[in-house]
Amino acid sequence: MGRSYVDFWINLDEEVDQSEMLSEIRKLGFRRVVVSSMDKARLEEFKKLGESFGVEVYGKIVLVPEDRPALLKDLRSRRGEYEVVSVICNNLEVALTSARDSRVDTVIFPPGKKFRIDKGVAAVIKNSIELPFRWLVDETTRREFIRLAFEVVNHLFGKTSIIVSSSASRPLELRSPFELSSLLEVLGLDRNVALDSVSTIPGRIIETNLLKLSPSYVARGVLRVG
Amino acid sequence: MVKRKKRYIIVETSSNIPLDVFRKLVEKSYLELFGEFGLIQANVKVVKKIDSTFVLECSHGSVPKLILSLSSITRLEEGAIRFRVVKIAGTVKKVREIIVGE
Repeated sequence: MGRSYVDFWINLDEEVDQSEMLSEIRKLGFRRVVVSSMDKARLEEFKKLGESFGVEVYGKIVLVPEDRPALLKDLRSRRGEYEVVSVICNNLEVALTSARDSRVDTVIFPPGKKFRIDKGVAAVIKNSIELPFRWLVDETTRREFIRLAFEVVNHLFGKTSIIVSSSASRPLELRSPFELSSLLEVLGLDRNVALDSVSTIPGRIIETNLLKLSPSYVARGVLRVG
Repeated sequence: MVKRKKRYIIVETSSNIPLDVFRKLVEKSYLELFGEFGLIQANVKVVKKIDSTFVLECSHGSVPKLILSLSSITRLEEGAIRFRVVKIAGTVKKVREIIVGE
């Protein structure tokens, strides 16, 4: 059986033709997408429309906290509402907290970050790292993003998993799984490992979280049966 | 001398553009990301154009680099443009089969 590809971040904050977006997603070969939107009604509408296109849609919240208390407060209040939680880390304090908090699924480092990813971060990291492809496409952030991607692959590959998402907000910004995974291939990873970043790794996170959100879930490793 | 392996990349564009413009765009993008040495090593050539589909030839080892360069192209003058990699093939015969089959 072939791989089931997942686009781990599609940004629906802007007004777009949802049918066009979904048909493009399907054409590119994705079966599952994770969508972030401030407007919950739009997210629900997209989920319903996704069914008719044969695309599974999951909700995602992207947190941009200023410090550790703000991050913990956001996580306490919003974790149960979305299938996936990602944190954009603008400082080291937030990065170190979100890297090891089990309520966070992916950690995103912005291109112009003011801290280094080194052994200290590598020692505590438990969650996956997400690399949004849009920052490579955007010429203003491209150089910083490539530097960041190099840092991530050099220091964190093998210690945690890496996910590449499109973070597209328009159909033209969407990229196919092979295009997304080519970033990691160019950075020196094996082709199959690179393809895992757009298929099995995000797929596993979704499945784990669906289980966590189900009513039969009691605690880690404990499920109510019957 | 060992024969260098080639790969053919079939690319679909969101709008119909002339072959020269396409070649310049691809070369510029590759040059920006991987430099002069990279571009020469990749040996990128535009083999064919059929409507809005192009066939590119490159060295075997440069395929991911070329795909990355193609996907980082977003603008053509003032308009937006996107290139979609349809398929990668090892022989011209296979390319023909794919294009006929589409």
